[in-house]
Amino acid sequence: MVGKDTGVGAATYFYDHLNLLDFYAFGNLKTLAKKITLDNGMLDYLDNTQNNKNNPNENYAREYLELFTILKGEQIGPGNYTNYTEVDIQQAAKVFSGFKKRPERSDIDPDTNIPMGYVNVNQHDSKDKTFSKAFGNRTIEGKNTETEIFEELDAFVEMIFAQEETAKAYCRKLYRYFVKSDWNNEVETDIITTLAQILINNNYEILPVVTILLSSEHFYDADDSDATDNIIGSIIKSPLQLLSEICTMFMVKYPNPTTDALLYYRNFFLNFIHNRYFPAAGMEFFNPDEVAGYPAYYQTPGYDRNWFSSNTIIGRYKLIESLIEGKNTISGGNIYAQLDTVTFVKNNIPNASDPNLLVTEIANLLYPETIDTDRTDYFKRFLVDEGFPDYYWSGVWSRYINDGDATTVRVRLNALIIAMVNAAEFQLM
Amino acid sequence: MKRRHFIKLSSVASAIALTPFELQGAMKSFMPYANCPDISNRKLVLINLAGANDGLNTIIPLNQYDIYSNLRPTIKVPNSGPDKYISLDSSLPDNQQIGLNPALTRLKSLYDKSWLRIMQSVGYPSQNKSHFKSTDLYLTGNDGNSLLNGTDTGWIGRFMELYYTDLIVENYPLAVEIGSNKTSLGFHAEEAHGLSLNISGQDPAGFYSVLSGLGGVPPSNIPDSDYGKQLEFITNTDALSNTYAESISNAFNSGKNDISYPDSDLANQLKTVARLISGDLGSKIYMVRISGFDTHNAQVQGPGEAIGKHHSLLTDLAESMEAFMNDMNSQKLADDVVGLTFSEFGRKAAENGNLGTDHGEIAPMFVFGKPVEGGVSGTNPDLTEATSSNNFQIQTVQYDYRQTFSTLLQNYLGANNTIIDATFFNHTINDSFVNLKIDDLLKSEFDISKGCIASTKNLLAETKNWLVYPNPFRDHVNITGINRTETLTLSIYNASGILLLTKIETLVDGNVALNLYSFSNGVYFFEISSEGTKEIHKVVKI
Repeated sequence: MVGKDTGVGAATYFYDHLNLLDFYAFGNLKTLAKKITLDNGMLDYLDNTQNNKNNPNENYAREYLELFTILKGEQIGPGNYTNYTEVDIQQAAKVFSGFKKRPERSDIDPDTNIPMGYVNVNQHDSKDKTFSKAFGNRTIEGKNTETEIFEELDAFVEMIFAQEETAKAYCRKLYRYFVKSDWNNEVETDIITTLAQILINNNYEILPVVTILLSSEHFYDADDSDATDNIIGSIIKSPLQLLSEICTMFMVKYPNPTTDALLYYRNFFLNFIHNRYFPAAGMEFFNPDEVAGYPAYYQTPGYDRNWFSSNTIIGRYKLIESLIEGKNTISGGNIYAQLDTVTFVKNNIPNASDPNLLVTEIANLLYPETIDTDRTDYFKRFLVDEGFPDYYWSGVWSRYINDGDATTVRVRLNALIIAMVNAAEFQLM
Repeated sequence: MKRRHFIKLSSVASAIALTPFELQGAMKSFMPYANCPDISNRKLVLINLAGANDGLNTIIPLNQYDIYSNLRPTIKVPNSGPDKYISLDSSLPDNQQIGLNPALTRLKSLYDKSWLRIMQSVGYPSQNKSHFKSTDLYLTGNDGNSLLNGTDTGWIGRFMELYYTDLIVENYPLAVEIGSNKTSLGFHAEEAHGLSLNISGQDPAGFYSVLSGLGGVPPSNIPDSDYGKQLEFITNTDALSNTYAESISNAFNSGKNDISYPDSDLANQLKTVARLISGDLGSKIYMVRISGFDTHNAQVQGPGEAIGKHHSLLTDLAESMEAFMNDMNSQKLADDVVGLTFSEFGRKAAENGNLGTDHGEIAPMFVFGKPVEGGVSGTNPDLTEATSSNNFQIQTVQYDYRQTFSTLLQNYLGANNTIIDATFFNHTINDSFVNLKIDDLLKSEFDISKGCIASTKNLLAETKNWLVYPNPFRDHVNITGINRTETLTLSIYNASGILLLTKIETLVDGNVALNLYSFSNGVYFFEISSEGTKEIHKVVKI
């Protein structure tokens, strides 16, 4: 993926880049790995558009191996990263030489209907490329016609994807994204390796392998009775996950993107979500700090713990408050969106008049695991003050049901929902 | 001590804190050295040049200018005209003759004050040319040959955990990080959690008032599972952020800047650091960051020009460094601050044809500050190493990055050999970095390895007028003094520096007996005042 605001070139490039990712989101990883090389945004972002036979630019070649496909292994010698070597980077740069961006967007990929770059035959290094022992000293024959240069690229990508390590690298990423950031040898052998084989058997189609992972007993902690190795609730939610869950769960009302496009895109999404909430919570939208992506998905040892840190928690905590108050409590301004806690409870919580059941039923909707009585009592205090009987709440709730005046219950439910959403339990998935 | 344990203990207390200043005062009596400069307030400021700085266009090897020109026909810094390099120091021998990039006028003025040492060809054995991997190696204290110094912890974290053990329980972070959303791997420690605080993008003045209490009360029953471990992490991060935020806001609001800074991201970061130091924040290590050094293209704006992306970055760096040091000096704090720049690697000696450079190996390091002995360490790299057979790399490492750090950790901050070895060890040549320290990195009056004798006596025992025993204690603890006084005032603070109780105690037979049955297990600070003197004792309940 490119970084939207850090050197991807024209806005149209990023638009095309998104369409390409969207096109192959449920498709074939290997095909995407070929197509992305000709993506105008990527050509610009990692400088491959300037990579020529006489003046190689290794930027794209390096990241292609290190971050996008086979990934770097342990360094086992000077310039030798197990899965590939510095020599392979230089050879890959030669394979990629001559691919250029096309600002006019006049070359259209017939497979995707998305604008793409082109190859400048004169700038392509037509010498043979011999790779290291990591790739069995394979030589890819250098070519000098447009069709053959594309075949050369094909052969190179096929070579990378013929390595089992490439399949494993993708499966580890999937596991880290959907299940848990780190794992033991048993998971490596039983799950990662198995999934990698499925990925290879399906010629790098992504759907079968994701389907198997997400429908496995392991994913639902149903594979054994040992609670200490449960994986549900072991990932800290990204700011995007947090936002989308809150919006879905509480049916947040925001401007309709079709009929009220300006208010939606400018006031709600751009001004509040994109410019304030995401940066404050540590996730520049489509624009991670590094070409490696968001640290939650690559930075050892913490991985997803990078989402939750002293410099991101104010942004996280202020989200629910902003949505409930209908204004940006991070930096001010109307957000044109509203979370209605009273309507949410009325429509979704069957036993809302009993404060204990109200709390546990919301907790069951929000949290990975049920909460104990101590915790229920803590949250209940937002509805009924310490020392007062539960029926005080039942009374105000039934008065609201009868006369529709939500003033009293709203103040309390707002406080409860803010506390329950900002609680440690809701940060996890 | 496991910091996370203290978090649990201290979450219930009321909110009158012992200021970092008071605690620092208490810590001075723990000084392990005699006849030495006061090192208790010394700090390191690390500037990360992210993306890999092009060393060859930062400091130009004038003795090999022709080879340099041939390797870099379009991006070389010119040797004539308005963009000509700046001659660093004509008194240096030929093989140390350096031309500074013309962006570095402010760096030249630091050098002329004898506040700057340039370290040549810094790197480590078997350079890894991945930004991410090499950054991780730099921060974990490893090299390309082995990861034996640990991969899950950072060297700064290990160092702080071992050397500042007594300060781990304070209510301020041992390290402060600004400039990156990602909390650096460098600060991860073995046992203690949250030694550092990342305040990137935050308003330090209002940090505490905004953050305070947002996360609510944490759950008390934590299951034994991954979910439980994550709950604990979140709860601890929240509690520590609250605790630390208060000390940050207090220091920021009582500190000041004495001079004006350029308006750039890096300058603003250093301005905040200066203000926190000025506000007497106890933190020992600061890390700031300037990124954009990954100049694969257009590092100069046109062939033969010096102006461009790299020039802007270097200008920003030099101006920010100088403003920071002048601010510190103007506030008479310059004795206590040493700064250092580091970058994950350098860039290839040959340009790449896009007015840029690809990933390389060695790069220079700048060590700066009033305590620093001005000068140049090492000679210009040998450019004849860069040939087509090695992909035009200059590879000979003159200084391992850990040599600079170990010299500063020991000779400036005062860490002993054991701590240096546990922070990082040179597994490649199987030698301690204590034996590989760099001569003349510090002016002798600031260097505690010169003319300064480490005391083997326990100064704590000699200088205290009160004895608190038994320590550790279970429920009952006694305070006995050598002076005959009627009463004493006792204040007890918890590990976060929060005041738990304060009262006047009457001595019976020279002794005060306390029953602290109701206190949780953990570390407490007893502040004992009588007849105008005050002492602080660290006491542990088990």
